[in-house]
Amino acid sequence: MHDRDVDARDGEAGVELMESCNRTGHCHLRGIALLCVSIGMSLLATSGVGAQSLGRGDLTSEEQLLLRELLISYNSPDLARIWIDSRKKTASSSARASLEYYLADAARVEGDIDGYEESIRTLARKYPNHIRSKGAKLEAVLAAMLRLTDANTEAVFATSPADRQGFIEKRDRLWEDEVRRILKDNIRIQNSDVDSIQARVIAEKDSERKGTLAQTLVEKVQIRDLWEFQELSAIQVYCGLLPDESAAKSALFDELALLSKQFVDLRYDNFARRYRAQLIYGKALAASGRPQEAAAELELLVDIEPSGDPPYDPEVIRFIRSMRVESLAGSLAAYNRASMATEALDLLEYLYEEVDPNFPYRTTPEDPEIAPLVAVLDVEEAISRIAGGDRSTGLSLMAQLIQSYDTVENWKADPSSTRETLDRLARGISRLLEMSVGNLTPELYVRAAAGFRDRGQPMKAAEAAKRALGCRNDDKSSRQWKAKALYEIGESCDALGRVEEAAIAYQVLVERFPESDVVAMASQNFFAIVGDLGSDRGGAWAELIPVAEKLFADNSQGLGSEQLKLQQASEAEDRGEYSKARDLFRRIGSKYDNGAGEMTVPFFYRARAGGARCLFRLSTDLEQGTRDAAGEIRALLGDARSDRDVSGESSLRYELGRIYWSDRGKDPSSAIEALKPVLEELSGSSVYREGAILLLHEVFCAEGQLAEAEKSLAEIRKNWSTEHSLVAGTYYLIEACKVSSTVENSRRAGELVLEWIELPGSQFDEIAPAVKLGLASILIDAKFSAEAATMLAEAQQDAEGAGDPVLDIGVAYFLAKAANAAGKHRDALASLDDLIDKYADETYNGAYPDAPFVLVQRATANRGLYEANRDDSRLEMMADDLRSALAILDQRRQSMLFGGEIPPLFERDYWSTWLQYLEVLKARKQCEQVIGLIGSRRLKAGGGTSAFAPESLQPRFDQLEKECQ
Amino acid sequence: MPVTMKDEWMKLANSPIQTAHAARGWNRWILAVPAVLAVLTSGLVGHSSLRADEIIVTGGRNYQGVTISTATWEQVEYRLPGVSTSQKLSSDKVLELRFSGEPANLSRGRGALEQGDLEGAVSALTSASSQGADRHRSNASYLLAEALLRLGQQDSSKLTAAIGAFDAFIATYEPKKDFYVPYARMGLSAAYKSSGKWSDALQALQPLAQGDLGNKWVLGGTLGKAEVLLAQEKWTEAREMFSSVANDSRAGASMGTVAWLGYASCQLGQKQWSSATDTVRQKVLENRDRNSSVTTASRARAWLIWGRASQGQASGDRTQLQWALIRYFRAAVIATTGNGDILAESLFRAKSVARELGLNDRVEELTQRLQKLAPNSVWNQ
Repeated sequence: MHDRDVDARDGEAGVELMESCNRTGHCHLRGIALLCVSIGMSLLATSGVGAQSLGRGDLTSEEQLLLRELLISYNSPDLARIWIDSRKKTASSSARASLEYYLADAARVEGDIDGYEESIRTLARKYPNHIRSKGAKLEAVLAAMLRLTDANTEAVFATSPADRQGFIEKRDRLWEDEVRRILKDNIRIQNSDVDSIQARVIAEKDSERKGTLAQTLVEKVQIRDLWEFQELSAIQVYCGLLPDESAAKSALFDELALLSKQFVDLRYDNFARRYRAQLIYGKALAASGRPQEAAAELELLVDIEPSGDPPYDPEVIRFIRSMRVESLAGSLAAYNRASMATEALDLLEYLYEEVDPNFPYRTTPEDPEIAPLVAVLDVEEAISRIAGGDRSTGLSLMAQLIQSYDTVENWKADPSSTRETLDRLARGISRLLEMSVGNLTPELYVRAAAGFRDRGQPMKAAEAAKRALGCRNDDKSSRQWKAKALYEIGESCDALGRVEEAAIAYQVLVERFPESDVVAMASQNFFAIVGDLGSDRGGAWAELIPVAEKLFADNSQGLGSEQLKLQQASEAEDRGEYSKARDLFRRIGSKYDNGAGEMTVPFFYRARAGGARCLFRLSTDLEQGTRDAAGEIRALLGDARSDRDVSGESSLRYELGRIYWSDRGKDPSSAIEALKPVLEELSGSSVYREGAILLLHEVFCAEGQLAEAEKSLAEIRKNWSTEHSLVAGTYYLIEACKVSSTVENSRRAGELVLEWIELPGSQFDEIAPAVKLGLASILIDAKFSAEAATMLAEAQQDAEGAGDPVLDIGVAYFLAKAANAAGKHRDALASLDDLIDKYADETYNGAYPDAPFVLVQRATANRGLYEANRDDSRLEMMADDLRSALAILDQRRQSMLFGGEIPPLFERDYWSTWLQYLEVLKARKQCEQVIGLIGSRRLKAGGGTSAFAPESLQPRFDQLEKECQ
Repeated sequence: MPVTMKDEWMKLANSPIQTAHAARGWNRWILAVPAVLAVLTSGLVGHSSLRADEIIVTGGRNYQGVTISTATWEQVEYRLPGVSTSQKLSSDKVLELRFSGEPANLSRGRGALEQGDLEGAVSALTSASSQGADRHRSNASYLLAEALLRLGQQDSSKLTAAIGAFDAFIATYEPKKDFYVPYARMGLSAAYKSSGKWSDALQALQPLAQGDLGNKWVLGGTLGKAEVLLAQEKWTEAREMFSSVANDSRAGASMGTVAWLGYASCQLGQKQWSSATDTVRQKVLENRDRNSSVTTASRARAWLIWGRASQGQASGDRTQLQWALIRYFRAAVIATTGNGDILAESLFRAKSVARELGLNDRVEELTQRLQKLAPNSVWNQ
């Protein structure tokens, strides 16, 4: 391959990429790679040889070729990175710079345009003398072009007018600020530099210096030409993105015609670029409404040949051939757009007859790089024939084209290139409609509609698609295309913001073409839009929701539709529509067809569990509802186990557990039986297993099965140490331990509090001072005095300035409690006396939560002092305080009894206060009263020797009674 | 060896095309080589050049890849590929004839008519009606008259031209029993009807009613008469006549549907909203035994009628108005610019309902769309 050839070809690669982006609306990665590597190559002017190897020192041409293939042909930036990393170890400094540029290219191949651009800027600063650093600005412009085409693609596929407008504005802003202005400024600077050096060359008398200056001038001219050429390319690409009827497009094409003509006339340095400019000139003339001039200019390129002797390098042949194909396609297009299809036919006639019947050298199979261009030529030829009166040949050619490109094999082998070719085809067919050609097949109308939409004309797309519906053909294939036409109408209406009509188009599709390939998507879309309209507008739209649901249920396919059903079911359940939700849950199948075969629906068991949950909710008879819902779930447990579906079985068992442990009733043993296998027989860290184990843990804690609860908490800690379940699970166990009055469990509660506050999810630093006081209380009971003191100090600090008397009391109370626990009874008493003096009414009336416990705590302080000096007055004070405390607690307990449930913790505190009071009475030798009081409690509980207090306290009452007797 | 720009440019300058271009101008040069098209289509270019006509018939089993020899209102004669003897098909079953090769102007005119570009259609078809083979001229003349009729329905001053075109077509092609003559008579009647010349409209249908143009067209004549009565708002008489066609077992799928739509229109005229709805639902929209190519246009009209019935019944009820809007949109979603009046009426009526519902943005959008898609329609005036 000759240096100049490479230079010529690579200089145009960016243009090809931009054009391909323009035509397809998708910048495929291969194209991106082509762009970045080609720019690099054009600046490096590398010559290629025919093999690759890993070497040392500077990069060889074969190594550069290898990198190019890794990035372009194999589209494998990861492989390129691996190779680059290895090669960097033995690279020279200049090779290292080149390799780093290739790494930047790899980022770009992956679509990270921002990262690429940032790397280029950094590298330009790091290696100012590297050849690519000199082109960094131009690369930035091309990156902006890619962003611009991306924005345009987003606009084409946007489903709301506001979004579309936003993307269009972004595209235009990028064009003005990051492309147009930069190009103009740089071209001006480059021209100024060239003029200045040119003047110096003329003025220079010394021949040696003159020679050096002349060399500099050549280099400057090359760079200036490259900038000017990129300006032409950029305008051409941007014009292609603008709507056909826009005034801006027309003005830009006029400017493009002028600039490209100037380039052809004045810039001689690079023949390939000049050919390209001529091509751009012809196309610009055609787009400016001067088809005859355009055709004449393009025909200059139709039969160009390489000069020099054969054999020709494949690159040169490819370039020449692509020029011929493009210029001929351009000529035909120019004639076609001017309604001069017969002129186009005449040109073809001449070329085939006079030049070569196989002109412009079709090959089979086509070179993948040329194939899209050949497709465009064939489309234009077909258009010329159909519009020129040779309808059957034209239609036959069109059919052959579609048949050869739109194949499963092509889509599998190279989807982006296939899409690109078919998009070009569709755009071509849309032109056919603009030429008033009618009486086409539904397929061609639908493809034309896609072409219009690709050209940013959704309104025309919808109208083209409608024409497919009007075709009288009603065979199977035509019906498929009519269905696609309605889908196209739906999409176009959506893009135009006409959501109601989009919904209707989808509805018509589903109703009239239920056998169609697109019926599943259409029914989903209809369901989704009508759901929104129904909730927003009500009325007729709300009445349509059941219709949409039915159509959706009847026609939905694939995992997406199952997910939608799940979502709709959950929404219905949230609204309390259990019957509807159950129906939707149960419509979710266990398998779906992904086109390649049957796949398992991953949330099948979850959906069935949801269905059972709804059944349970629906039932008015709790017993029957429990039996039915549990029966449904139990029937699936075996299947879930044999499917090894841990999430599914966990979901089922969770729901089963919830049925037995719900706000409607609690059957702990059944709940535990349902949930325990999740802990003991299943494994893994799925979120559904997590939920089931947390529920099991909750039941264990509530039932005081602390040893089991420790196991479930350990499992939670093992698998979900960073999740909130550990926070909740630890808290449940703290509560359970607190309720139990044993010293060991109190100690364990304290340990758990200390663990709990360290958990990130507990957000201890942000919790309210009242909660800190509660935790401090547990720590006091657990004899973690130092930790309790720290926590109380924190709570005191948080409470300061809050002006909340409850907090004020709480802090004082817990400080006193801590002092009592530490044996500092006098301090505790002083503090509590002050508190009760200050809040006498509030305390004795039980106006704040801790009021009875303040009195109990003062009794505890007096008890400590009594034990030291046996002063009977202390006993009297104790009795008074405990009686007052019991009065408040009795009142609260009554209220709780009316409410239906007394929390175990309250019960423990209540009976513990009674115990203290009775012990004081006993100390005051009032045993008869003790016996009477215990007897009356027993009587309330059933008489005889009935237990009345919690299990942990009852023996102490029994003992007291015995002692008093 | 390096390739220089100068070399390349010289090569380019000496290319045969460049030379021909410079010497005589490309177009003049190529005109001096006549009849190349025939060579081109003989397979030289490597593409299939097989000519294939198509006969679209009721029932959906169309005749593809045939060569149509003659087409009269009595029968269509065609040849199957590779078979020398002709086959015959009763024209009563034929809905449409498609020819593989026709002059560019005829093709363009047909396409323009299909997409509602009436001025463009008239321009192209006027040229086509005097060019090419007799069959192409007859097709072009008939389509020209149709285009003029539709223009006349937008601008009554053009109706005279339409009447003249139909008369000219009938005068030339009735003696030859051209396939499109019965259609032209229906068109002529429609043109007179649009001019308010009721007796002329009925007169134009006389040969059809008499059975001169085949059995199928006897019912066609009756249908035409019913349309004339409908235009005069003679609801009861029109309704009876539509009913007689609709219930006649000889009426094909297409004619039956049109008759039921006319019948429902009479019911609308009589403000029998529910009955009109029942008619279009039972006889058109929910009747599966119809040729879909006919019913697509008819469906749009049926939805329009149902929408009008809903609007008529609404009496300000918001939900009913929403239903009317939905039904107008159903018509608009399938009606093409080629079915200009149906599309325009759907958009117009949707606009009126949107206004009643206070959907001001939608009113604005529909106004713009009406202007863009049907600028000359009576529904946009």
